[in-house]
Amino acid sequence: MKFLFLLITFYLLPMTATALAVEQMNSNSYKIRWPNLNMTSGSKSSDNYNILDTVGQTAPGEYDSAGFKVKAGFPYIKTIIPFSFTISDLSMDFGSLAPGIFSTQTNTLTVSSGGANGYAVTAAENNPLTIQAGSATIPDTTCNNGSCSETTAGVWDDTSKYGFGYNMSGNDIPAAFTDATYFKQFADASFSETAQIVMSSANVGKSRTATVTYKINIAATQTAGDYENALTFIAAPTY
Amino acid sequence: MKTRLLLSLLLLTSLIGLITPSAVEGQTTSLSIWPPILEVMVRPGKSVTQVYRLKNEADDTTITVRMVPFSAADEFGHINLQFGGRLPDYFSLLNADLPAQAGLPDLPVTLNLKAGQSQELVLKIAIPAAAEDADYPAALVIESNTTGLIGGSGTVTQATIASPILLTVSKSGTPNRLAKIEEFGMTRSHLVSDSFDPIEFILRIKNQSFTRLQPVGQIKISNTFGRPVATLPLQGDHILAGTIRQAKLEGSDPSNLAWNPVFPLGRYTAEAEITPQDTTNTVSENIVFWVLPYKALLVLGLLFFGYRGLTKLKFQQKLKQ
Repeated sequence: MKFLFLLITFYLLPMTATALAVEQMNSNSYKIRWPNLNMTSGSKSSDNYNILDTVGQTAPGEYDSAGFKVKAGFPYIKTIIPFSFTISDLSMDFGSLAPGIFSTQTNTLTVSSGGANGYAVTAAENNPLTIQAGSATIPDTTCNNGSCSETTAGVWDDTSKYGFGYNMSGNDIPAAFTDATYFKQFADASFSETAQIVMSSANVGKSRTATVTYKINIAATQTAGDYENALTFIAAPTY
Repeated sequence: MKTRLLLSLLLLTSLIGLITPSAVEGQTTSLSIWPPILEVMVRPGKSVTQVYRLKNEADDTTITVRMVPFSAADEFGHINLQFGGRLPDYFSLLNADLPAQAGLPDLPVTLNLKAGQSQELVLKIAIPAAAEDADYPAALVIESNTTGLIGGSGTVTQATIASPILLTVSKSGTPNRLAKIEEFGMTRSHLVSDSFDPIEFILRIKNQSFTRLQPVGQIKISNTFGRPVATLPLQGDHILAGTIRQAKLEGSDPSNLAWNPVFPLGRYTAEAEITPQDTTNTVSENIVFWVLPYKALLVLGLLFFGYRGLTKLKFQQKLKQ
């Protein structure tokens, strides 16, 4: 009987853990949609500073006072929805790269924006993929016919074409990503290229999600070693 | 024996379930901010304070809070953050609960946010009494310093969110705002629109003043007899000083400035009328356009001539016989 009890306990334990994980995920997605926005809660005073006489407003809208006018929140919609941005996985680890074989990784971007004017997410890389000890790089892809750039997408399914690029699928993505074969380069900040929009919408949106597919293909002549770079995604509401 | 085997299998699967790592093992970033946008007009010598609520909904992270100027990235209200750009010393944090060398923290400030933790940021905007009238488009930028770890080749990603602040310094509180209709026309270059297609306009408005403005206005459409048939209200989107913005209908996509009437026919006049908010500086421009069911007429014409040609051919064949 004891054995059976232990067995049942062991069997139920993983299920309990799963249930907790699910609760946490729900929390990540939905809990903050209707937060308590009582900005006067919580003291922001000290011996030297007391802001209670100049406290920020507690709800979107407009207030006038002698000498200033403030509107917080999006115009036209009295939103209490915060602006939120999520990246599902910060590490795109390709491990060891094999010449002439496409390696891909994906993560997802999620945006919630309650504003009448929507939002945009831009992306840029600090530099091309660069070997950890040295200066060798994996260039940004120019796709099958050499036509794609950080602004123009192109078909990239030819394994004899090398480089690093990305594709977008899902909500609010640029129209240039016609299907999964279309790729672009990331804007290269080291060459002062302007960060490019990877998601945007002019409308109110909750949990708008897009998948970024990162792809690398190297030549047999590529210097051996680990190559890295860093990408920055910036999400901002539209004014 | 069978029961023991079954129980052993159950035990084994349970243990495997316990030691198998979760499917979601990559590090995640999730930040939210409220308010998402702030419009402020302040007189010199005055100050205003706004409380921002920031929440970390993912793994523990370190964030950097800074003010960054921005410019218009395009004609649709997207912002172009100018990292490294300079702003006057008008912005400060009043948080006594943030790390500081002495007194209040200086921007930029770096702080730790645990998973699920919220942080209120008390932003003070103080304008010196001697400040001139001007606009300062800036954004409260929150950079997550968390990056992923990679074992081989790969890329690490970072998340940054920004909350734009449209700051106007004005002595009078009613700066003179001037708008100009830079372009008003049809999106298609055809002289004649089809009765079965939406009539799409393009309206680009330029802010010719030194402060941002919000245009209030509409497109009025009149028919051949001068009778008004439609009014399309325009959304009062902000236009930064010296920039152009494409107008859109209230609640529509940026590219959607369309009129969808039921079978329009004939000559129409469209008048775009814009007045910058809080002013009487109205500007307007007219265009004339024709709407005909030319695609349907073309099809009917082809059918008619095709039918005539066919009957003629048949008639000639009969004559030959």
